[in-house]
Amino acid sequence: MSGAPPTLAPPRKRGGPPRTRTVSRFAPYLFLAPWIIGLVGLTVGPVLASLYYSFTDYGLLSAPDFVGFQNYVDMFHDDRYWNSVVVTLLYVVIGVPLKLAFALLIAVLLKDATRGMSTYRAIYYVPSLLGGSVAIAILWRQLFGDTGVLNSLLALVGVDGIAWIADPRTSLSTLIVLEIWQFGSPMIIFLAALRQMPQDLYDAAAVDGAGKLRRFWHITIPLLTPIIFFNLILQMIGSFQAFTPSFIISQGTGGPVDSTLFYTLYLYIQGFGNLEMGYASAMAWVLLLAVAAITAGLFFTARYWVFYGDRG
Amino acid sequence: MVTRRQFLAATGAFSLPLVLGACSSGSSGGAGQPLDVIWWGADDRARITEAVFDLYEAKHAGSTVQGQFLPFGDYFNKLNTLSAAGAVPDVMQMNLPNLATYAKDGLLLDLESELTLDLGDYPAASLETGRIDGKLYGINFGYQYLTTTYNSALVERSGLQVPTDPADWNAWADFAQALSEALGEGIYGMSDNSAESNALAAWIQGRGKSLYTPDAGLGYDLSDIEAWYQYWADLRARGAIAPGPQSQTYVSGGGAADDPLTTGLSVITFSPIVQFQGYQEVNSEPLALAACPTGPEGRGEVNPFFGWSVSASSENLQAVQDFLTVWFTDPAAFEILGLDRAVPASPTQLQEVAKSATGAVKTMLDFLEANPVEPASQPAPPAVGARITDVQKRAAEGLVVGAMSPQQAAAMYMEEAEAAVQDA
Repeated sequence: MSGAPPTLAPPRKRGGPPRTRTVSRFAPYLFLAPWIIGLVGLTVGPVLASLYYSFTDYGLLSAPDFVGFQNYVDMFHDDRYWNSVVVTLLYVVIGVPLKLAFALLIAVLLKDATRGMSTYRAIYYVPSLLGGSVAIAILWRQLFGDTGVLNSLLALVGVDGIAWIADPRTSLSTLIVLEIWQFGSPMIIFLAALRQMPQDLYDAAAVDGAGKLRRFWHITIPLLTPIIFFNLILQMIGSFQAFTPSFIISQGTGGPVDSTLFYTLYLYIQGFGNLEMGYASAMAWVLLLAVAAITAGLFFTARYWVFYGDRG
Repeated sequence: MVTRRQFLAATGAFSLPLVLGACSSGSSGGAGQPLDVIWWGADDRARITEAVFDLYEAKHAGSTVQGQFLPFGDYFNKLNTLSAAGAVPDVMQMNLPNLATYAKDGLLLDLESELTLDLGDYPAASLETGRIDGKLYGINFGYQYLTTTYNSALVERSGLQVPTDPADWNAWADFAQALSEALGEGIYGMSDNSAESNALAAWIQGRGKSLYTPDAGLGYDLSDIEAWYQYWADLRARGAIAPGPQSQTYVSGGGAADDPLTTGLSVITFSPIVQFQGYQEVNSEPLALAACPTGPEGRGEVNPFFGWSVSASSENLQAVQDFLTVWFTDPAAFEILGLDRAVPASPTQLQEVAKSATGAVKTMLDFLEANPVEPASQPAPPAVGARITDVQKRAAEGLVVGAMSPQQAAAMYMEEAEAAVQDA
């Protein structure tokens, strides 16, 4: 079998144990052991435990009680659960495309190496660094609150701003804006891809009389589709798991009338607030399966719109 | 030059004690171990509580107290996780809905059988609030009666008279409407307290019902809740309370800081008596107290449990006993505690606080003297946690933003309340 490095057995002493060979066979596993222990103990173990808990009624303070599929059935009949699904879907379906579009737009503006561009790139990446952290979420509450900075600015031009965070019609939009604001990391990836675009295609197109917009639509976008696909998957998965913005901005309640009740926030409320850990575990597994299904679906559709140049 | 082997050896030796140290954390108890106490509240309560800790440490040389505190919103989530991890502190601040949950799961110490408590003249009636199924799971800090708090300066300006006691909910509604009309633009008679759980409890008690039945069911029905939300919808229609957008922050948040009374937007609010001090501190105008509204069947004073509970797995029982004795019987502690958490149940404690009372504290004590209350006994609650108070708030939010009618809000409340009681 190729690939295995040849191990030279040391010359055997008569009657002596071949210790070195055994040690060298197990040495890789010993080195891997800390990581494997971490993987099993901190990731795989808890994941399997949560699968078990999802079939139980587990009140966190007492032992779990097996109930079969009851949690999943209850979920199906829970209005608040479906509300959280709708809110999260809106957040993903509106937020992710807008975020990617914005990232692409800024990347296109930044791709030329003119003076000061590296500074601009750094500046545009900063929101992504600060990210969906607690501090930024608290800042967002202040910006969009009833007496916040946005309303003060609107007052300067005579517009009476509403309480963006407290109004159920606009509260989710403030969270979507927060998501779009963190466009830095997809932007950097787009930027890297744009800088690698083969110039000769553009030159040929220009010679044939294609304008800037045409060149962008017919050359840049098709060549970028792998990157768009990558960013789409990554951002979509991240968006489904978003928790901090909703938790901080709605102060753990899911916002006025559950308008910012993200799936993960409802999971947290059920698990740690209502002590329905079994239900929360069931929710977690449904989320996992849903995200896996959507990702698989996206991979399936990829063959129709993602153009990998090397496949012709 | 440092070889790779030397580097790995050095960092390995360094990280081992860290790993071992991390592994050994979390077990409290035993002689000489500090007493762990956890409570919720803001910085001023923390200062007061820690001053009592210092007092306890001075009286019991050699024992130490380690306290931690959290905002209320995060408190029970943290306590739930600590309990699940087996690292729950010895003494914890507890409220009524969660007392039942924790007691049911065997997490709380039966105080009477495990400790020998001498609480001085702390009245037995108050002790009953911490009793579930005959066992004492917590000691109430004192009295938490609902009162009406109003801005006396604004009332004077309006030229109207506060309703004389006993005044029922409708009398207060009429008064609020008259205030709105008299005071004009931008000021409303009452704050929207549709999400205030203590006010709803008083409402239910005033209708002759109790929050729960002895067999752990709901003591009220849909008509009571529909009437509650209808009351607040009517107040809004009459202009007695602020319109939706202005009321919403208080309905969603519920603290004294968000109360329209504090922002000068309203004149009257309902809150537990002990919060009067906090309200007065953030309000530049003088506030006053009146008795809470009566219902068709009387007033029915509710004194919900709010006090100290002890963890069943605590190994520090002697220290717990000493600490509770200091807290509830030591005159120096009374002076420090004042009226921060409750109006003291023990007459001695009340007298001690009254000695040096000024300002808001004096107002509260004068009010209590003029309005002695007979606490209504209540059946112990089932283990519903915060589910019912949460749904009251969510239904109130729906009403405030106009997304629900009072009937729909009441239906949502009853659905969740019945489910919570079933699951308990």
